[in-house]
Amino acid sequence: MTAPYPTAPDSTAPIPTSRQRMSTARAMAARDLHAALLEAHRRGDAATLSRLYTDAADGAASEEEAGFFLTHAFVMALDAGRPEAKTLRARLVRMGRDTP
Amino acid sequence: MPDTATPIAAPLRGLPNAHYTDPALHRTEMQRLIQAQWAGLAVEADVPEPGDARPIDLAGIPLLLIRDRQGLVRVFQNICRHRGMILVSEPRKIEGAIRCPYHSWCYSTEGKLVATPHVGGPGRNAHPDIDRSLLGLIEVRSHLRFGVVWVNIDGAAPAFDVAHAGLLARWADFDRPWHHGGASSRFTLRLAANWKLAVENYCESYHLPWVHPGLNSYSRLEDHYDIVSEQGHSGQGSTHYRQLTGADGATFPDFPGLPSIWNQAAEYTALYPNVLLGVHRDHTFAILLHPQGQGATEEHVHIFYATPDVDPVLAAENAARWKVVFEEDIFVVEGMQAGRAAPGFDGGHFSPAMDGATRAFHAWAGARMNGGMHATASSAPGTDAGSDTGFPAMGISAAPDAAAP
Repeated sequence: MTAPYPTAPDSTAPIPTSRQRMSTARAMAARDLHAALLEAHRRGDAATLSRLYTDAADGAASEEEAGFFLTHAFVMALDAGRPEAKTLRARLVRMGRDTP
Repeated sequence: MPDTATPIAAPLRGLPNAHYTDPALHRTEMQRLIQAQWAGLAVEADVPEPGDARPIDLAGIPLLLIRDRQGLVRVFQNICRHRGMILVSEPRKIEGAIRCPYHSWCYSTEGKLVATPHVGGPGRNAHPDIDRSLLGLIEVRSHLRFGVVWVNIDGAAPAFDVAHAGLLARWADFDRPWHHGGASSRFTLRLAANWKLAVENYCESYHLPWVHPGLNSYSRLEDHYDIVSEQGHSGQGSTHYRQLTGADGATFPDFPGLPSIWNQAAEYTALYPNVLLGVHRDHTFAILLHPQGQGATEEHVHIFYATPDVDPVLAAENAARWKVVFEEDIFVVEGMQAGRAAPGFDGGHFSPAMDGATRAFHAWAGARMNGGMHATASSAPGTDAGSDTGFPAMGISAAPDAAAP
Protein backbone atom coordinates (compact mmCIF):
# COMPACT_ATOMS: atom_id res chain seq x y z
CA MET A 1 0.00 0.00 0.00
CA THR A 2 1.40 3.42 -0.99
CA ALA A 3 1.83 5.86 1.88
CA PRO A 4 -0.21 9.07 1.38
CA TYR A 5 2.87 11.21 1.97
CA PRO A 6 6.59 10.63 2.70
CA THR A 7 7.07 8.92 6.02
CA ALA A 8 10.37 10.72 6.62
CA PRO A 9 10.41 14.56 6.74
CA ASP A 10 11.93 16.10 3.62
CA SER A 11 13.50 19.38 4.53
CA THR A 12 13.50 20.48 0.92
CA ALA A 13 9.73 19.98 0.43
CA PRO A 14 7.40 22.95 0.83
CA ILE A 15 5.46 23.05 4.10
CA PRO A 16 1.78 22.08 3.44
CA THR A 17 -0.83 24.68 4.14
CA SER A 18 -3.56 24.13 6.73
CA ARG A 19 -6.15 23.48 4.01
CA GLN A 20 -3.85 20.96 2.34
CA ARG A 21 -3.34 19.14 5.66
CA MET A 22 -7.09 18.91 6.30
CA SER A 23 -7.69 17.61 2.79
CA THR A 24 -5.03 14.96 3.25
CA ALA A 25 -6.49 13.89 6.57
CA ARG A 26 -9.94 13.50 5.01
CA ALA A 27 -8.48 11.50 2.16
CA MET A 28 -6.70 9.24 4.65
CA ALA A 29 -9.86 8.79 6.64
CA ALA A 30 -11.79 7.95 3.49
CA ARG A 31 -9.17 5.44 2.46
CA ASP A 32 -9.17 3.86 5.91
CA LEU A 33 -12.96 3.67 5.89
CA HIS A 34 -12.96 2.18 2.42
CA ALA A 35 -10.44 -0.47 3.47
CA ALA A 36 -12.40 -1.24 6.62
CA LEU A 37 -15.60 -1.59 4.61
CA LEU A 38 -13.96 -3.96 2.16
CA GLU A 39 -12.58 -6.04 5.00
CA ALA A 40 -15.98 -6.19 6.73
CA HIS A 41 -17.64 -7.16 3.44
CA ARG A 42 -15.04 -9.90 3.01
CA ARG A 43 -15.88 -11.25 6.47
CA GLY A 44 -19.61 -10.85 5.95
CA ASP A 45 -19.70 -8.84 9.17
CA ALA A 46 -23.02 -7.04 8.85
CA ALA A 47 -22.88 -5.40 12.28
CA THR A 48 -19.51 -3.79 11.55
CA LEU A 49 -20.69 -2.80 8.10
CA SER A 50 -23.66 -1.04 9.64
CA ARG A 51 -21.40 0.90 12.00
CA LEU A 52 -18.95 1.85 9.25
CA TYR A 53 -21.69 2.95 6.87
CA THR A 54 -23.20 5.01 9.68
CA ASP A 55 -19.80 6.67 10.14
CA ALA A 56 -19.66 7.26 6.41
CA ALA A 57 -23.12 8.84 6.45
CA ASP A 58 -22.20 11.03 9.39
CA GLY A 59 -19.13 12.31 7.51
CA ALA A 60 -20.81 12.61 4.13
CA ALA A 61 -20.27 15.73 2.09
CA SER A 62 -23.89 15.94 0.95
CA GLU A 63 -27.35 14.75 1.88
CA GLU A 64 -27.40 12.63 -1.25
CA GLU A 65 -24.25 10.86 -0.12
CA ALA A 66 -25.57 10.56 3.43
CA GLY A 67 -28.77 8.97 2.16
CA PHE A 68 -26.82 6.39 0.23
CA PHE A 69 -24.64 5.43 3.19
CA LEU A 70 -27.53 5.49 5.66
CA THR A 71 -29.41 3.08 3.40
CA HIS A 72 -26.55 0.62 3.62
CA ALA A 73 -26.19 1.16 7.35
CA PHE A 74 -29.90 0.41 7.78
CA VAL A 75 -29.87 -2.72 5.62
CA MET A 76 -26.82 -4.12 7.36
CA ALA A 77 -28.35 -3.41 10.76
CA LEU A 78 -31.45 -5.32 9.65
CA ASP A 79 -29.29 -8.18 8.42
CA ALA A 80 -27.42 -8.37 11.71
CA GLY A 81 -30.51 -7.99 13.85
CA ARG A 82 -29.09 -4.83 15.41
CA PRO A 83 -31.43 -2.53 17.34
CA GLU A 84 -29.95 0.48 15.50
CA ALA A 85 -32.04 -0.52 12.48
CA LYS A 86 -35.00 1.30 13.99
CA THR A 87 -33.24 4.63 14.43
CA LEU A 88 -31.51 4.38 11.08
CA ARG A 89 -34.83 3.84 9.34
CA ALA A 90 -36.25 6.77 11.29
CA ARG A 91 -33.43 8.98 9.99
CA LEU A 92 -34.17 7.87 6.44
CA VAL A 93 -37.87 8.53 6.91
CA ARG A 94 -37.12 12.02 8.25
CA MET A 95 -35.01 12.63 5.16
CA GLY A 96 -37.92 11.56 2.96
CA ARG A 97 -35.92 8.54 1.77
CA ASP A 98 -38.08 5.75 3.17
CA THR A 99 -41.57 5.12 4.49
CA PRO A 100 -42.35 4.12 8.08
CA MET B 1 -54.12 -54.78 13.75
CA PRO B 2 -53.64 -57.39 11.03
CA ASP B 3 -57.39 -57.61 10.57
CA THR B 4 -57.60 -54.02 9.38
CA ALA B 5 -55.91 -54.80 6.10
CA THR B 6 -58.23 -54.02 3.23
CA PRO B 7 -58.40 -56.18 0.11
CA ILE B 8 -57.96 -54.13 -3.03
CA ALA B 9 -58.72 -54.66 -6.65
CA ALA B 10 -55.71 -52.85 -8.01
CA PRO B 11 -54.32 -54.62 -11.04
CA LEU B 12 -51.66 -57.27 -10.74
CA ARG B 13 -49.50 -55.46 -13.26
CA GLY B 14 -47.03 -52.78 -12.26
CA LEU B 15 -46.35 -49.38 -13.76
CA PRO B 16 -44.78 -49.36 -17.21
CA ASN B 17 -41.14 -48.42 -17.65
CA ALA B 18 -41.97 -44.89 -18.72
CA HIS B 19 -43.00 -44.01 -15.19
CA TYR B 20 -39.40 -44.50 -14.17
CA THR B 21 -37.61 -43.27 -17.28
CA ASP B 22 -39.71 -40.71 -19.19
CA PRO B 23 -38.89 -37.13 -18.16
CA ALA B 24 -42.31 -35.88 -19.27
CA LEU B 25 -44.08 -38.30 -16.94
CA HIS B 26 -41.68 -37.35 -14.17
CA ARG B 27 -42.63 -33.69 -14.51
CA THR B 28 -46.32 -34.57 -14.33
CA GLU B 29 -45.63 -36.82 -11.37
CA MET B 30 -43.87 -34.05 -9.48
CA GLN B 31 -46.95 -31.85 -9.94
CA ARG B 32 -49.62 -34.39 -9.16
CA LEU B 33 -47.95 -36.77 -6.73
CA ILE B 34 -45.73 -34.35 -4.81
CA GLN B 35 -46.83 -30.72 -5.17
CA ALA B 36 -50.55 -31.50 -4.99
CA GLN B 37 -50.21 -33.75 -1.91
CA TRP B 38 -48.84 -33.44 1.62
CA ALA B 39 -45.19 -34.27 1.06
CA GLY B 40 -42.52 -34.69 3.68
CA LEU B 41 -40.03 -31.82 3.44
CA ALA B 42 -37.90 -32.01 6.58
CA VAL B 43 -38.08 -32.64 10.30
CA GLU B 44 -38.80 -30.03 12.94
CA ALA B 45 -35.42 -30.80 14.43
CA ASP B 46 -33.77 -29.35 11.30
CA VAL B 47 -34.57 -25.87 12.62
CA PRO B 48 -34.48 -26.20 16.41
CA GLU B 49 -34.08 -22.50 17.30
CA PRO B 50 -35.63 -19.20 16.15
CA GLY B 51 -33.78 -17.88 13.11
CA ASP B 52 -32.58 -21.31 11.98
CA ALA B 53 -33.02 -21.54 8.23
CA ARG B 54 -32.45 -24.37 5.78
CA PRO B 55 -32.88 -24.31 1.99
CA ILE B 56 -34.41 -27.50 0.61
CA ASP B 57 -35.39 -28.35 -2.96
CA LEU B 58 -38.45 -30.56 -3.26
CA ALA B 59 -39.86 -31.71 -6.59
CA GLY B 60 -37.51 -29.23 -8.24
CA ILE B 61 -38.88 -26.30 -6.26
CA PRO B 62 -36.56 -24.24 -4.07
CA LEU B 63 -38.05 -23.94 -0.59
CA LEU B 64 -36.85 -22.33 2.60
CA LEU B 65 -37.56 -23.96 5.95
CA ILE B 66 -37.25 -21.49 8.81
CA ARG B 67 -38.21 -21.12 12.45
CA ASP B 68 -39.41 -17.55 12.87
CA ARG B 69 -38.71 -15.18 15.77
CA GLN B 70 -41.83 -16.44 17.60
CA GLY B 71 -40.69 -20.03 17.25
CA LEU B 72 -43.16 -20.99 14.51
CA VAL B 73 -41.91 -23.30 11.79
CA ARG B 74 -42.64 -21.85 8.36
CA VAL B 75 -41.87 -22.77 4.76
CA PHE B 76 -41.44 -20.21 2.00
CA GLN B 77 -40.53 -20.34 -1.64
CA ASN B 78 -36.84 -19.54 -1.42
CA ILE B 79 -36.89 -16.57 -3.79
CA CYS B 80 -36.74 -12.81 -3.63
CA ARG B 81 -39.85 -11.12 -4.98
CA HIS B 82 -37.65 -8.65 -6.88
CA ARG B 83 -35.69 -10.79 -9.34
CA GLY B 84 -36.36 -14.35 -8.26
CA MET B 85 -32.90 -14.73 -6.77
CA ILE B 86 -32.36 -17.62 -4.35
CA LEU B 87 -32.38 -16.04 -0.90
CA VAL B 88 -30.64 -18.62 1.27
CA SER B 89 -28.19 -21.04 -0.31
CA GLU B 90 -26.98 -22.99 2.71
CA PRO B 91 -28.26 -23.78 6.21
CA ARG B 92 -27.57 -20.90 8.58
CA LYS B 93 -28.88 -18.75 11.40
CA ILE B 94 -30.79 -15.65 10.34
CA GLU B 95 -29.69 -13.10 12.91
CA GLY B 96 -32.05 -10.34 11.83
CA ALA B 97 -33.60 -10.21 8.38
CA ILE B 98 -33.37 -12.48 5.36
CA ARG B 99 -31.35 -10.28 3.01
CA CYS B 100 -31.29 -11.08 -0.67
CA PRO B 101 -27.63 -11.30 -1.74
CA TYR B 102 -28.43 -9.61 -5.07
CA HIS B 103 -29.99 -6.17 -4.35
CA SER B 104 -30.46 -6.56 -0.58
CA TRP B 105 -34.22 -6.55 -0.36
CA CYS B 106 -34.86 -7.71 3.20
CA TYR B 107 -37.57 -9.93 4.68
CA SER B 108 -38.48 -10.71 8.26
CA THR B 109 -38.43 -14.34 9.39
CA GLU B 110 -42.23 -14.15 9.18
CA GLY B 111 -41.87 -13.38 5.47
CA LYS B 112 -42.73 -9.67 5.50
CA LEU B 113 -40.82 -7.44 3.08
CA VAL B 114 -39.16 -4.89 5.35
CA ALA B 115 -36.61 -3.06 3.19
CA THR B 116 -36.20 -2.21 -0.49
CA PRO B 117 -32.92 -0.28 -0.65
CA HIS B 118 -32.46 2.19 -3.52
CA VAL B 119 -35.73 1.02 -5.09
CA GLY B 120 -36.69 4.65 -5.80
CA GLY B 121 -33.17 5.65 -6.89
CA PRO B 122 -29.87 5.93 -4.99
CA GLY B 123 -30.55 6.41 -1.29
CA ARG B 124 -34.32 6.41 -1.85
CA ASN B 125 -35.83 3.27 -0.41
CA ALA B 126 -39.49 3.48 -1.31
CA HIS B 127 -41.44 3.99 -4.50
CA PRO B 128 -45.20 4.43 -4.97
CA ASP B 129 -45.31 1.50 -7.37
CA ILE B 130 -43.65 -0.92 -4.97
CA ASP B 131 -46.12 -1.88 -2.25
CA ARG B 132 -44.08 -3.74 0.32
CA SER B 133 -47.20 -5.06 2.02
CA LEU B 134 -47.99 -7.08 -1.12
CA LEU B 135 -44.53 -8.41 -1.75
CA GLY B 136 -43.76 -10.64 1.19
CA LEU B 137 -42.26 -14.07 0.74
CA ILE B 138 -44.57 -16.66 -0.78
CA GLU B 139 -45.51 -18.97 2.06
CA VAL B 140 -46.06 -22.66 1.43
CA ARG B 141 -48.81 -24.45 3.32
CA SER B 142 -47.21 -26.61 5.99
CA HIS B 143 -48.18 -28.95 8.79
CA LEU B 144 -46.25 -30.54 11.66
CA ARG B 145 -46.96 -34.17 12.57
CA PHE B 146 -44.87 -37.13 13.68
CA GLY B 147 -41.84 -34.84 13.97
CA VAL B 148 -42.04 -34.15 10.23
CA VAL B 149 -42.65 -30.87 8.39
CA TRP B 150 -45.18 -31.64 5.66
CA VAL B 151 -45.87 -29.28 2.79
CA ASN B 152 -48.69 -28.97 0.30
CA ILE B 153 -46.97 -26.88 -2.32
CA ASP B 154 -49.98 -26.12 -4.51
CA GLY B 155 -52.08 -25.27 -1.47
CA ALA B 156 -55.17 -27.14 -2.65
CA ALA B 157 -55.04 -30.50 -0.87
CA PRO B 158 -57.55 -31.30 1.88
CA ALA B 159 -56.34 -30.52 5.40
CA PHE B 160 -53.65 -32.94 6.57
CA ASP B 161 -55.93 -34.47 9.18
CA VAL B 162 -58.52 -35.13 6.50
CA ALA B 163 -56.13 -36.37 3.86
CA HIS B 164 -54.51 -38.79 6.30
CA ALA B 165 -57.39 -39.59 8.61
CA GLY B 166 -56.82 -43.28 7.98
CA LEU B 167 -53.30 -43.51 9.33
CA LEU B 168 -53.98 -40.96 12.08
CA ALA B 169 -56.75 -43.24 13.33
CA ARG B 170 -54.67 -46.36 12.99
CA TRP B 171 -51.74 -44.80 14.84
CA ALA B 172 -53.67 -42.69 17.33
CA ASP B 173 -51.54 -44.30 20.04
CA PHE B 174 -48.47 -42.68 18.49
CA ASP B 175 -50.02 -39.30 17.74
CA ARG B 176 -47.94 -37.50 20.35
CA PRO B 177 -44.61 -35.65 20.34
CA TRP B 178 -41.76 -37.52 18.70
CA HIS B 179 -38.38 -36.39 20.05
CA HIS B 180 -35.54 -36.47 17.55
CA GLY B 181 -32.59 -38.53 18.77
CA GLY B 182 -30.06 -35.90 17.68
CA ALA B 183 -27.06 -35.94 15.40
CA SER B 184 -26.44 -39.68 15.68
CA SER B 185 -30.07 -40.40 14.83
CA ARG B 186 -30.00 -38.92 11.34
CA PHE B 187 -28.30 -40.08 8.18
CA THR B 188 -28.78 -39.75 4.43
CA LEU B 189 -28.62 -42.47 1.79
CA ARG B 190 -28.36 -41.70 -1.91
CA LEU B 191 -29.97 -44.05 -4.39
CA ALA B 192 -29.57 -44.26 -8.15
CA ALA B 193 -33.25 -45.05 -8.45
CA ASN B 194 -36.63 -43.44 -8.90
CA TRP B 195 -38.26 -42.40 -5.63
CA LYS B 196 -41.32 -44.64 -6.19
CA LEU B 197 -39.17 -47.75 -6.09
CA ALA B 198 -38.14 -46.89 -2.54
CA VAL B 199 -41.82 -46.61 -1.58
CA GLU B 200 -42.70 -49.84 -3.34
CA ASN B 201 -39.89 -51.79 -1.70
CA TYR B 202 -40.67 -50.40 1.74
CA CYS B 203 -44.33 -51.35 1.56
CA GLU B 204 -43.93 -55.09 1.30
CA SER B 205 -42.44 -57.77 3.54
CA TYR B 206 -42.08 -60.28 0.70
CA HIS B 207 -38.40 -59.42 0.25
CA LEU B 208 -37.40 -59.56 3.91
CA PRO B 209 -36.04 -63.12 4.11
CA TRP B 210 -33.95 -62.61 0.98
CA VAL B 211 -32.67 -59.10 1.40
CA HIS B 212 -32.62 -58.81 5.19
CA PRO B 213 -31.66 -62.26 6.49
CA GLY B 214 -30.60 -60.71 9.79
CA LEU B 215 -34.08 -59.36 10.40
CA ASN B 216 -35.68 -62.59 9.33
CA SER B 217 -33.79 -64.60 11.92
CA TYR B 218 -36.11 -63.32 14.63
CA SER B 219 -38.97 -61.74 12.70
CA ARG B 220 -40.01 -64.33 10.17
CA LEU B 221 -41.97 -63.67 7.04
CA GLU B 222 -45.02 -65.34 8.53
CA ASP B 223 -44.88 -62.90 11.47
CA HIS B 224 -45.67 -60.04 9.10
CA TYR B 225 -48.96 -58.78 7.77
CA ASP B 226 -49.98 -56.32 5.08
CA ILE B 227 -51.38 -52.88 5.82
CA VAL B 228 -53.44 -52.00 2.79
CA SER B 229 -55.49 -48.86 2.81
CA GLU B 230 -57.16 -46.65 0.25
CA GLN B 231 -56.55 -43.57 2.39
CA GLY B 232 -53.07 -42.66 1.33
CA HIS B 233 -50.90 -45.22 3.07
CA SER B 234 -49.86 -48.85 2.92
CA GLY B 235 -47.16 -51.03 4.36
CA GLN B 236 -46.55 -53.93 6.63
CA GLY B 237 -46.57 -54.90 10.28
CA SER B 238 -44.71 -57.35 12.45
CA THR B 239 -45.94 -59.18 15.53
CA HIS B 240 -42.44 -59.92 16.81
CA TYR B 241 -40.70 -56.69 17.67
CA ARG B 242 -37.82 -57.10 20.09
CA GLN B 243 -36.45 -54.11 21.94
CA LEU B 244 -32.81 -53.15 21.72
CA THR B 245 -31.14 -53.51 25.10
CA GLY B 246 -27.93 -51.98 26.35
CA ALA B 247 -25.11 -53.80 28.14
CA ASP B 248 -26.85 -53.24 31.46
CA GLY B 249 -30.19 -54.41 30.13
CA ALA B 250 -31.53 -50.89 29.77
CA THR B 251 -34.05 -50.09 27.05
CA PHE B 252 -35.46 -46.89 25.61
CA PRO B 253 -38.52 -45.58 27.46
CA ASP B 254 -41.86 -46.52 25.92
CA PHE B 255 -44.25 -44.02 24.45
CA PRO B 256 -46.73 -43.41 27.26
CA GLY B 257 -50.13 -45.02 27.38
CA LEU B 258 -49.62 -47.62 24.66
CA PRO B 259 -52.02 -50.57 24.66
CA SER B 260 -50.36 -53.93 25.31
CA ILE B 261 -50.70 -54.94 21.67
CA TRP B 262 -47.68 -52.75 20.99
CA ASN B 263 -45.49 -54.72 23.38
CA GLN B 264 -44.36 -56.86 20.47
CA ALA B 265 -45.93 -55.19 17.45
CA ALA B 266 -44.27 -52.81 15.02
CA GLU B 267 -45.63 -51.23 11.89
CA TYR B 268 -44.00 -49.75 8.80
CA THR B 269 -46.09 -47.73 6.41
CA ALA B 270 -45.48 -45.39 3.54
CA LEU B 271 -47.53 -42.24 4.00
CA TYR B 272 -47.91 -41.27 0.37
CA PRO B 273 -46.28 -39.77 -1.45
CA ASN B 274 -42.79 -39.70 -0.01
CA VAL B 275 -42.52 -40.49 3.70
CA LEU B 276 -41.75 -43.93 5.09
CA LEU B 277 -42.71 -44.24 8.74
CA GLY B 278 -42.03 -46.89 11.34
CA VAL B 279 -43.44 -47.19 14.86
CA HIS B 280 -42.36 -49.32 17.80
CA ARG B 281 -43.14 -49.11 21.49
CA ASP B 282 -39.87 -47.29 22.22
CA HIS B 283 -38.86 -45.50 19.03
CA THR B 284 -40.14 -44.37 15.66
CA PHE B 285 -38.55 -43.25 12.45
CA ALA B 286 -39.32 -41.22 9.37
CA ILE B 287 -37.56 -41.55 6.03
CA LEU B 288 -38.08 -38.58 3.75
CA LEU B 289 -37.68 -39.42 0.07
CA HIS B 290 -36.49 -36.47 -1.97
CA PRO B 291 -36.43 -37.08 -5.72
CA GLN B 292 -33.26 -35.75 -7.31
CA GLY B 293 -34.50 -36.01 -10.86
CA GLN B 294 -36.18 -39.13 -12.18
CA GLY B 295 -33.40 -41.66 -11.56
CA ALA B 296 -31.98 -40.52 -8.24
CA THR B 297 -33.36 -40.20 -4.74
CA GLU B 298 -32.11 -39.00 -1.39
CA GLU B 299 -33.36 -40.84 1.68
CA HIS B 300 -33.18 -38.66 4.78
CA VAL B 301 -33.54 -40.96 7.78
CA HIS B 302 -34.53 -39.63 11.22
CA ILE B 303 -35.07 -41.65 14.39
CA PHE B 304 -37.28 -40.41 17.21
CA TYR B 305 -37.93 -41.37 20.83
CA ALA B 306 -40.61 -40.94 23.45
CA THR B 307 -38.43 -38.61 25.53
CA PRO B 308 -35.86 -35.98 24.58
CA ASP B 309 -33.02 -37.45 26.64
CA VAL B 310 -32.38 -41.06 25.66
CA ASP B 311 -29.11 -42.92 26.24
CA PRO B 312 -26.86 -41.58 23.45
CA VAL B 313 -24.82 -44.78 23.18
CA LEU B 314 -27.93 -46.91 22.78
CA ALA B 315 -29.41 -44.38 20.33
CA ALA B 316 -26.26 -44.51 18.22
CA GLU B 317 -26.40 -48.31 18.19
CA ASN B 318 -30.05 -48.23 17.19
CA ALA B 319 -29.28 -45.87 14.31
CA ALA B 320 -26.38 -48.05 13.19
CA ARG B 321 -28.62 -51.12 13.12
CA TRP B 322 -31.29 -49.39 11.07
CA LYS B 323 -28.66 -48.04 8.70
CA VAL B 324 -27.54 -51.59 7.94
CA VAL B 325 -31.12 -52.58 7.13
CA PHE B 326 -31.81 -49.57 4.92
CA GLU B 327 -28.49 -49.94 3.11
CA GLU B 328 -29.38 -53.55 2.34
CA ASP B 329 -32.29 -52.24 0.27
CA ILE B 330 -30.17 -50.00 -1.95
CA PHE B 331 -29.06 -52.64 -4.45
CA VAL B 332 -32.67 -53.73 -4.86
CA VAL B 333 -34.12 -50.36 -5.80
CA GLU B 334 -31.11 -49.52 -7.95
CA GLY B 335 -31.41 -52.88 -9.66
CA MET B 336 -35.09 -52.31 -10.39
CA GLN B 337 -34.30 -48.85 -11.80
CA ALA B 338 -31.63 -50.29 -14.08
CA GLY B 339 -34.06 -53.03 -15.12
CA ARG B 340 -36.51 -50.47 -16.38
CA ALA B 341 -34.23 -49.77 -19.32
CA ALA B 342 -35.16 -53.20 -20.68
CA PRO B 343 -37.90 -52.83 -23.31
CA GLY B 344 -39.21 -56.28 -22.50
CA PHE B 345 -40.21 -55.34 -18.98
CA ASP B 346 -43.96 -54.93 -19.02
CA GLY B 347 -44.51 -53.47 -15.58
CA GLY B 348 -44.09 -56.82 -13.90
CA HIS B 349 -46.54 -59.28 -12.40
CA PHE B 350 -47.43 -58.75 -8.75
CA SER B 351 -48.02 -61.60 -6.36
CA PRO B 352 -51.73 -61.70 -5.55
CA ALA B 353 -50.80 -62.77 -2.01
CA MET B 354 -47.70 -60.76 -1.17
CA ASP B 355 -47.69 -57.48 -3.08
CA GLY B 356 -50.95 -55.90 -1.94
CA ALA B 357 -49.34 -52.90 -0.26
CA THR B 358 -47.29 -52.06 -3.33
CA ARG B 359 -50.29 -52.47 -5.57
CA ALA B 360 -52.18 -50.08 -3.33
CA PHE B 361 -49.48 -47.45 -3.88
CA HIS B 362 -49.71 -47.92 -7.63
CA ALA B 363 -53.48 -47.55 -7.46
CA TRP B 364 -53.14 -44.35 -5.45
CA ALA B 365 -50.57 -42.93 -7.84
CA GLY B 366 -52.60 -43.99 -10.85
CA ALA B 367 -55.71 -42.26 -9.61
CA ARG B 368 -53.87 -39.01 -9.16
CA MET B 369 -51.95 -39.21 -12.40
CA ASN B 370 -55.31 -39.73 -14.06
CA GLY B 371 -56.77 -36.73 -12.27
CA GLY B 372 -58.97 -38.65 -9.86
CA MET B 373 -60.17 -37.53 -6.43
CA HIS B 374 -58.80 -34.14 -5.42
CA ALA B 375 -55.82 -34.56 -7.67
CA THR B 376 -57.59 -32.86 -10.57
CA ALA B 377 -58.49 -29.77 -8.60
CA SER B 378 -55.05 -29.57 -7.11
CA SER B 379 -53.02 -30.37 -10.19
CA ALA B 380 -51.00 -27.61 -11.69
CA PRO B 381 -52.90 -25.57 -14.27
CA GLY B 382 -52.34 -26.63 -17.81
CA THR B 383 -51.56 -30.25 -17.07
CA ASP B 384 -53.46 -32.78 -19.08
CA ALA B 385 -55.47 -35.02 -16.81
CA GLY B 386 -54.54 -38.51 -17.66
CA SER B 387 -54.37 -38.95 -21.37
CA ASP B 388 -50.58 -38.89 -21.43
CA THR B 389 -49.85 -40.79 -18.26
CA GLY B 390 -50.08 -44.35 -19.43
CA PHE B 391 -52.34 -45.37 -16.56
CA PRO B 392 -55.59 -45.85 -18.53
CA ALA B 393 -54.01 -48.71 -20.43
CA MET B 394 -53.48 -50.43 -17.09
CA GLY B 395 -57.14 -50.26 -16.28
CA ILE B 396 -56.65 -48.52 -12.97
CA SER B 397 -59.76 -46.73 -11.86
CA ALA B 398 -59.55 -42.98 -11.61
CA ALA B 399 -61.47 -43.15 -8.35
CA PRO B 400 -59.21 -44.45 -5.59
CA ASP B 401 -62.13 -45.65 -3.51
CA ALA B 402 -63.73 -47.54 -6.35
CA ALA B 403 -61.70 -50.66 -5.81
CA ALA B 404 -63.73 -53.50 -4.36
CA PRO B 405 -62.82 -57.04 -3.40
